[in-house]
Amino acid sequence: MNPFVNDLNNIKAEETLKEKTKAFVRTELTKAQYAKTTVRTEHKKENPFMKKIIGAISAVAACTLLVICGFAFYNTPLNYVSVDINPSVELGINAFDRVVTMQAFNEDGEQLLAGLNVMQMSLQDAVSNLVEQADEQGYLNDDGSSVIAITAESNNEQTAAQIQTACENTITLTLNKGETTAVVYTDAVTLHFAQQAKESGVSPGKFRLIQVLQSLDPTITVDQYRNAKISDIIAAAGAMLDQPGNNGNGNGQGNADNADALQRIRNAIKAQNAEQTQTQSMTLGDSGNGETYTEQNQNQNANQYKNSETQAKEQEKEQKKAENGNSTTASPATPGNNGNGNSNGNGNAGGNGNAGTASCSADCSSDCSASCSASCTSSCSSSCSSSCASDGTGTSSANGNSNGGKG
Amino acid sequence: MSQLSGTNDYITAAIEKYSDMVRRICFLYLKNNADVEDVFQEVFLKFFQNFDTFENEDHQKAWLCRVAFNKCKDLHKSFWRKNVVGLENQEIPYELPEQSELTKAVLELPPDQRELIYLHYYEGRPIPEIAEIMQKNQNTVYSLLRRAKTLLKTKVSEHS
Repeated sequence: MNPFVNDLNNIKAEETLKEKTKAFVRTELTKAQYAKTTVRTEHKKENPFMKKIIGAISAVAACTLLVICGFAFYNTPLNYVSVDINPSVELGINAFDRVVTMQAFNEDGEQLLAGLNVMQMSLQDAVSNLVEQADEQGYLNDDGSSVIAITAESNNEQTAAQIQTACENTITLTLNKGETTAVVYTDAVTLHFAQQAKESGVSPGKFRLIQVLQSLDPTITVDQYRNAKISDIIAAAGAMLDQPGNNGNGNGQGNADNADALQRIRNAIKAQNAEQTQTQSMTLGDSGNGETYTEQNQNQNANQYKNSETQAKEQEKEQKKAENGNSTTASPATPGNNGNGNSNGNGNAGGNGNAGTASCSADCSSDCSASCSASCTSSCSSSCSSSCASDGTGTSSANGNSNGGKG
Repeated sequence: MSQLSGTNDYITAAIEKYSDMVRRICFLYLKNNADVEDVFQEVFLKFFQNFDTFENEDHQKAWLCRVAFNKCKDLHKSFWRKNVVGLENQEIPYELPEQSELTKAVLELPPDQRELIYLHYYEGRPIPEIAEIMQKNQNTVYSLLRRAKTLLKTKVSEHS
């Protein structure tokens, strides 16, 4: 083995090889040390990609959320409108004045809604259709004695007022197209009040009127008038107003007069509320009694009126009532009655009845002619103005009957 | 591991001490300068990466032997598989001037036997140590040695 050993002994590592190796080792070890103390940035590749994916998903999710929210918002009722004649229905209106909910409060209401679908229609179209449908189904009396109560349910006074006016105009137009007439009574309540009404199972509009009745007679219960027609309720109120102490306001009048009275009463209420307790009429749920109470006070003391014009109207009303004597839900046949005679009954109007000397106001003639509508004709307007001019003394009972409460 | 520069640091010292040994081992298996360089870099880098684990010089040396032989044998295998024909063209770049017949014969032995011959006859290690380095059973090593001797005798007699 010696040769082998000898040969191997002759083998030496080349200098260049050694130097290369030394340099190599030093470099590698330095890199290793550096790598230990340096933050790893290996994950860069992943991040942009992940970010894009997350971004895309977020965008899709956000859009979906917006769509869902928008859809929900569109279909959420902001205010409500209660339409009562005999059938009681309530329409929910969204922010764009489109009907998004419909609800009936009695069988007649369900019948009415069953016949047509007003969803997505504008409020005006819906109300118009409802009225036409009600007419077709026979809920509007031929003598125009039916009362269509429109009650705006809203926490915003302006909105409520807009709804009232708009509906009133729409209905008037709708009725004008056809052969029928009816009386339009509008009012407004808060959503809170509406909620209470629904809890009692009665439409807010009717509930409001019953409340008014109760202000005239606290013994009245909701159940008594739960199924009554609006016109009946109004008649009942009128009857109560007629009683002594209530200013002896006669009711029975022709449609035209009733309509007139209604109009005036409505205006009167608005004016009153504007002057006195505006909030009362709007926040009925709470202070309904207060309002009535105030009205009663008004009845007893005309001086409480802050608006002379209002006073004038009130006095005029009283005068007319006095002229006509009493009548309640009288049958059309009764002279001087229209079966409605209730127009005055909107006790809310503050059945004021002090037959004091009334100075007719200009409104008289204008209201009169307007409310008369087709059936009234000239006699109406003439009687109105004449009675007004006569200055308080109910001149001619002839006035009251111009329409011939012949029914 | 703070001193990475300077000519007299531990890196220089170790490489100077063990280069010849690693070169000899490479001689037994490799024909290519590139391969030799490759072995040197890998073996010594590993060595210094594990530098703190060595207990003494003997430990270092034994470790270097084992790693160097394994690396050389790996390269040798891949060399043979890739270049079956034309092997004769691969001249020994570092050829001994007068290579004895015996050395030539050893170079013809199977890889493990070469390692064994080196460890036993050049380094003079006892069989147990060799078994440790080669990671083989002592009996296996004895058999291997017997076989190697027989082969060598045959080859030498053939060559001469």
